[in-house]
Amino acid sequence: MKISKTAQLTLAAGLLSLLSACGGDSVTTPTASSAAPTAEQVAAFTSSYNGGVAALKSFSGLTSSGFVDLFDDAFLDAGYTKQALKDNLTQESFAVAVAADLSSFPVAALSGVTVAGCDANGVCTLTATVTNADVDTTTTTYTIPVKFSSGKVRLYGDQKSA
Amino acid sequence: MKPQFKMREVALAIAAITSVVTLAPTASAADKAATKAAGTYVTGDFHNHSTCSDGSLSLKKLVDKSVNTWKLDWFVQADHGGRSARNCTLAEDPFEPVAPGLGLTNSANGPWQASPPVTYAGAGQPASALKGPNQTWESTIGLAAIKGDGTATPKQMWRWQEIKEYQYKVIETLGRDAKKPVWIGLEQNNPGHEHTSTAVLKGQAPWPSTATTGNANLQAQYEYCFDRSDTDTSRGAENLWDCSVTGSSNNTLINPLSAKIAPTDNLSGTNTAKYPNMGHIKTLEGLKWMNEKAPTTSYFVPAHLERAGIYNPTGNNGFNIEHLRNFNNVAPKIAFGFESMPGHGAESPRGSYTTGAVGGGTFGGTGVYAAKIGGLWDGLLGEGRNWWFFASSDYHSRGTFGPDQRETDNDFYPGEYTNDYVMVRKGTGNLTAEGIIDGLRSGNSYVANGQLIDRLAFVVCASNPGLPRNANKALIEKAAANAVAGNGEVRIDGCATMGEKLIVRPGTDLFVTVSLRDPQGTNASPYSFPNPSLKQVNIVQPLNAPVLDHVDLIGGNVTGYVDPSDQGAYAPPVTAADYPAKIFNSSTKIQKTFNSTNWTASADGVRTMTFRVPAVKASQYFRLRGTNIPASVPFETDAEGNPLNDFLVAPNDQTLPGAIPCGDAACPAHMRTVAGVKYSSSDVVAWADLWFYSNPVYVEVLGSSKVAGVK
Repeated sequence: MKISKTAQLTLAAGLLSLLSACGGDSVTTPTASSAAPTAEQVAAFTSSYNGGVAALKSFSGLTSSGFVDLFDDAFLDAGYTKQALKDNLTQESFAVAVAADLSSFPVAALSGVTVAGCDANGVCTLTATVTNADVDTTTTTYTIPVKFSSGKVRLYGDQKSA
Repeated sequence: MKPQFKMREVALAIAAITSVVTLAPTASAADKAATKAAGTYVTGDFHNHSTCSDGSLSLKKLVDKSVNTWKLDWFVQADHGGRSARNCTLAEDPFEPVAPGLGLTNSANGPWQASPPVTYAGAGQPASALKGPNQTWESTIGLAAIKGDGTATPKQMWRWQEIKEYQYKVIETLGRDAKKPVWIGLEQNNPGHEHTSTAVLKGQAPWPSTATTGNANLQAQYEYCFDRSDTDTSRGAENLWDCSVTGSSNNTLINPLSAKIAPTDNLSGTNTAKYPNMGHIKTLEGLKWMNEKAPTTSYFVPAHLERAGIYNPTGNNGFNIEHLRNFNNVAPKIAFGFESMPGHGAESPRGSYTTGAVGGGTFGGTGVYAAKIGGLWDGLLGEGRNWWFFASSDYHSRGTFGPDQRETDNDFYPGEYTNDYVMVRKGTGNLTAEGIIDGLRSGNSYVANGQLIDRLAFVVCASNPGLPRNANKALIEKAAANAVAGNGEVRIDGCATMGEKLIVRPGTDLFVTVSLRDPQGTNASPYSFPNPSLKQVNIVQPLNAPVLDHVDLIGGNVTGYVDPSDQGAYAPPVTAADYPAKIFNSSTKIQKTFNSTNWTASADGVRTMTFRVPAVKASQYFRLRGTNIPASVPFETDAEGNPLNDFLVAPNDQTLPGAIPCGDAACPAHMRTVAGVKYSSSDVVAWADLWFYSNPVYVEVLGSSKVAGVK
């Protein structure tokens, strides 16, 4: 599909204004805990996360506040912050709305999720199998720090800036 | 009246053509994995010769070497247009003496373990013997059976008749016997230019077809109508061919006698002082003819296009960038790439490029158009064109060696040294010629020399914003490694591979992931002594066991098609002296170099690597090259790892010493020898200096330039 100049300008302007408006957020950092999450709590995280990721191909999924809440405020993973996540989701939602031929991105679902090794700050290690099943099923194992607080598991990231 | 075709008029003609011919998208959707049928990369070659033109072998032996000895999956027999005296449909006489092999030892543990044997057993005979495929048409079928113009003794047969009445059925039979797609093409002597690998498949019925009605009539007619060396005026005798193109204004140039663009005083219809640029116009008419007759089963791939120097409006020389643009504009589904890596890999000079070639020679075996970062190829890619890189063996002969010997000082057999790896989506069905041409057109292909690599998965994926970066990376790398293991490709939504494009919003993070296999063990080289080029830098590596040293990820911006009406940009004036420094895309550079320090290696030779592009802003492309030669190897590579002119290793003047001694006791006797010193040359140079090139992956950023050549 061709994108008209007007639509392109609208998109660009929208993205710029949105980026300038993006600031901090109001999510409270959960209290630290050394306890590991229960199986039910892990399952709840897995279900919410998989559902959220699967919905990212739609405008509603991209603008879901519930999905963003699965990331800790201090999330940092290979330089990717929670703010960057929010910016990307918002920009993607604008692009999806105006460009029907926009490429998608790889989706993945977690399975076999375990969360263990929690420290005094509630930072634990999530180990999971990541699967993309578009055509040729791709499966790999994956670990990432998560934070367990107030009964909820949230992605915490490797805390590295690159 | 004397027709004049100045470049301005040519440009206007092209502008008119492009206004009526849709710039059809030609690659498959990148982001819809489910639309991609399963496929594998298969190897083949579309540019080689028999005694029906200037080759040295019969059709039978040439096909046998290609698909049996060297195990190509597909093959195209493509002799020059024009006419010839020899009957290539006759096989070599099995009772003739064959030049003995030299008893060179062969791989014991490599991928070629079982084949080839120490020497290539098989029939052969000296080229001078008037036997087998060196017998004349006149002596074997009789003068009366040879059609069309001509008074030479013995009478030569026009290629159109060879193709239509003799070669096609032999080729069809040989392919069916081997259970592989083998068909007839043509190395066209282009009016106005040098040569192009072409084929018109429509009508042919190569394996797996069992049809009894297969024919190469259209291929034969194309040769009659548009090859500069075909000056026959007979209209194909009883065929009464007409070379007009429906609706073309250039039909007025057609000579009623021959029914083709061939004035009585210029039967080639080519560029001359009297008819400047006529040849280029005629070549374009050929593309329009293909587009009319066989739009999805034809191809037109200019061959060794730097070899004949820059374009000459009054002669038959090379191709400038504007001519490639013209071809691609007129028929984007047919003119979709070039052979900037020539055959004749063992010849001195390498690739048969003399100092008169554009760029003054080859660079690691590749012409300057593709070897130069930011050069002509990058210029075309920077426009967003579907213009792909191919190579061929251009087999003619083994030079001073016999056809069954492993040494060569002229050509490598198809599949022996150079391989085009082409993605063919055949699902669970057999490989077909149509599927292979679709694969060539798609750009999902790569080229490797000397079995440097034999598997490649190369993708650019949009980052999933909801997936942590290292999860994205891990998933894509795993998919790429899986693709390499299966000799297939990554089929994941949001990932584009070679010949495809991603369309992303500004700010998207990209993952550029490469997984490839450096096959372990030995390759097809007959030499196991240390690589002379690497020995200069104290690397001892057997010549037949190359190791991939590094991979360059090359990228540049896309800024859109240049309009033919903008002659200053479309057809910039160039001279031979402009090369090799000429830059067509100043944004192109090496984005990342991968080597053993930053790729993940496994024991089976698979190497996996990823480059992350944060917050992409502009439309761009990525391509790969790799080599066994590190940066800064004297006479081979510069400090950035770019290949140097091959004449630095072996000067064009054969009486001069080379630069790299070949001092090992096993260094063969046919090396250039000056004052008793043997120097690396000929096939040793080729085996010493190996490269691979991938085709590009495009990224189109919303609000930035369109990548118009790719769907």
